[in-house]
Amino acid sequence: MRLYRLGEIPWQETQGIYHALAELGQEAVIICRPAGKYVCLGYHDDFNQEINSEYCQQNNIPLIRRETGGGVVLLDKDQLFFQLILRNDSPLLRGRRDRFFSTFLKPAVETLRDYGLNAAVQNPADIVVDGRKISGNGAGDINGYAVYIGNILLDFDRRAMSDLLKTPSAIFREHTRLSMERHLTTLKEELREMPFMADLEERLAGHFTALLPELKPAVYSGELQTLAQKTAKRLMSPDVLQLPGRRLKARQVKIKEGVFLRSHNYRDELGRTGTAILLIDNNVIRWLECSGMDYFTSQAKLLLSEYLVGVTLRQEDIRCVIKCWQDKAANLDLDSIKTETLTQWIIEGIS
Amino acid sequence: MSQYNTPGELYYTQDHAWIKVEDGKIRIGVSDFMQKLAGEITFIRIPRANKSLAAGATLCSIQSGKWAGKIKVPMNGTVVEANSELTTNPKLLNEDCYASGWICVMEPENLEAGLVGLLHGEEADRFFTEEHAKHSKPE
Repeated sequence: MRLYRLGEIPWQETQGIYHALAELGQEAVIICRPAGKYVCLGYHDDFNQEINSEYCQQNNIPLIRRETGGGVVLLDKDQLFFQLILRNDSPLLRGRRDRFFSTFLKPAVETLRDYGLNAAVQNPADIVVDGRKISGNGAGDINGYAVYIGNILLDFDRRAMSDLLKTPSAIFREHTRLSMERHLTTLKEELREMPFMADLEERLAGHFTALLPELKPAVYSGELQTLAQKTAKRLMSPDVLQLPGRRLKARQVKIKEGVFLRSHNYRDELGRTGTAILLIDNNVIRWLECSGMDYFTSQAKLLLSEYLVGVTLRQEDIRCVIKCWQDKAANLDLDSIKTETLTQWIIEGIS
Repeated sequence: MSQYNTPGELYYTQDHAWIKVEDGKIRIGVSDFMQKLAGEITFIRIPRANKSLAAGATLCSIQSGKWAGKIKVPMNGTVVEANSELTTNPKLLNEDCYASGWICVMEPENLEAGLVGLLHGEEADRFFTEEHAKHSKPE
């Protein structure tokens, strides 16, 4: 199995390389980082739902789609990438594909531990340091090969990440940024200084070699580079970027494994509209804010938030809490709205 | 195989799709083995109707967790119908993979030739037995 240690390479090639190697049928580990900033969509992300293309154009941030899972990410030179290509019948792959993440992520976890960090895999595919995400990962089937990809964040521009996502409102965008501040971390923040990239790469390569002793250094040939560029060009084409993707009823941004920010539209029997922004952590409402719902008094909205925080996002639990809220706030003119309407709003939103 | 439902009248591909012959056309879906291996399937990009596809090209792709899997076209032909219900309800692929979880119907260029490369009967049983042994070995 080949080990490509590429250092900094043109951004397109950081995606093109592993697709190209899978197309060539080569098992390999690649360690690299992009020379520039770009946005990468997961294979099944819906471009029109996810991307604020105006922002990307204005800021000259190019886009590409990868053929692996996971969501939209902002990638740049302050991230170190690691990628693994395995034959589908590799003895390393057993059972469900997501179970291999824990093995694939070991070298990155060990590397972070070398720096004294409390790093661990959060199933199925995040690496966290004291509960905060420091590495995002994905996987997929490319040309019958199992491909696993990941990164380590040395630094991360959360504002740019929240700005490049299509969001229903400025408030939602700001909460996206704040949630990433809370739930994401970087090596720079953990160590209070930027680590030396060369040292980080050396350690990561060492841990991959320990996991896969058959790894042999390989040269990034001109031929392979040309193929990586050609593959990247295909992945950047409008046809590929605009492939239909997964569309959800409510706008949702995944912050890390299990943590989502969601925007739930409201429309009641009286035709009144509004929105709730919810932070969901392992299916429990951790935070909720209503906007554009001035027909509810401030007191009623505050009470709703108090009642719902800590409640599991389950039909019967939410219905029970909503009923209590309506009873408690009877003097706030809520009894004209059906409990079911309010429950549906909190569970999934009302289009 | 008792661990997996593998109806004997169906044909199978090496990437775990099933094929049912219906009046000269083929109906395609994912096998019970595949849906169990994938876990909860949260999305499928179904093929477009009227699209001509070559054997080995990507027929459709599925998402489960952070894994993006693909199913290949089993034989040259044209997609005549796709199960749009799966777009809003991909759970059918897990819950009812041989019936309401079907993916598409194709009109093959040459059905007889196309079936030659597929697994059927005892050959399919052996294949699934080997696949099960491979994936159930301790990690």
